[in-house]
Amino acid sequence: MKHATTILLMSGLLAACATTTQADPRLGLLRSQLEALQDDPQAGGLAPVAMVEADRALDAAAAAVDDPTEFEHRLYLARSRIEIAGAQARRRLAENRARALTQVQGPVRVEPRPTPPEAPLAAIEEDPSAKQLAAMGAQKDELGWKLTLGEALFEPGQAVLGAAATAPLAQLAALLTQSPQYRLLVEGHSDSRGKATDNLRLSQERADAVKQWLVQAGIAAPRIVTVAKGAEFPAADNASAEGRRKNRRVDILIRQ
Amino acid sequence: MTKDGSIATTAGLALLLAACASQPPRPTEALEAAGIAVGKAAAGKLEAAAQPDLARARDKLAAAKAAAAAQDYQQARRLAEQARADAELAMARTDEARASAMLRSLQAGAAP
Repeated sequence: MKHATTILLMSGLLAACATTTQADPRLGLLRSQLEALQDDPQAGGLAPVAMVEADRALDAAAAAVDDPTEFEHRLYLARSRIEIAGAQARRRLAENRARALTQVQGPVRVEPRPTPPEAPLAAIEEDPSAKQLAAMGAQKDELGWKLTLGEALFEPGQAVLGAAATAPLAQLAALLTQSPQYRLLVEGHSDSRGKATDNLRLSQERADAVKQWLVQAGIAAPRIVTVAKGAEFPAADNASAEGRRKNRRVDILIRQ
Repeated sequence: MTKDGSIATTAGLALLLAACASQPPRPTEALEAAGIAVGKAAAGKLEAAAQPDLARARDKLAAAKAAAAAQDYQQARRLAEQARADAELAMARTDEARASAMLRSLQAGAAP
């Protein structure tokens, strides 16, 4: 009798396990959400690392179906990772579109401004921020100014800003504070070592590090757009250590 | 037979329970990672849409620490992992909101 009760109890336990083993519908739902994100023709490829993390989180949840508490926990993590991946992809998409706009609009905006033909140098003299920019080592380009942070800025494979970045970034922050008309396009670069996808991610992280620094210095985040350039746009020859050091850089395009 | 059998089953069950109850190690790494993520999210200015995520992350981090102090390491690990995910989601939402605001302002041709 007692024995029978125990057996009954144990089979009850097993039955409980068996029901949870049947695929929980929420797993399939999350899986299709993630797949929809990955297959999105525009944003799908823009957050590869976060997508892989979401994928892993979902697999981890599927592997824990036998432990209801752990399963719920991992389901929660998977849901969060999918949302994070989606947010990152949409963010990059918005940034890319913003970048495309600044490139298309740049000349259109500059053109209608009547500048006396003889006066580029004089114009630089008149604009106090232009003097500052030139003093910081920024180069004038066709659409505004370009400031390259490249001297001993990043260690190989790292996106942590070196101490050499502090002085120019502080000057730039001061300039942005006093001249609210400026916007920044921050382009991250890497040397050519390693895989292209890793370099792309690394260059994004480098651009993000600069943006984060400036935002923490009080510059409004929407004024700064970051772009990953990977190793495709070297500033120096990747064959030498010195060249690679110069290529681990961030170009800051300063636009009105 | 019945007596021996039930003793064996009871012993088996007890073993099972013991296995379940066996304490995992203190989730030091998960707690640290959660602390860093929550600190990072709290340090930057978050968009309004991300505030509830940060609030949840903070609550869970506190609960994770309490669980760790009470030596409920299983629970502490879960709470810490969720706190970290919540904090990272808060940051991702904020970045997304800012990028789309930037895009909108550019599309409107408005000065920043």
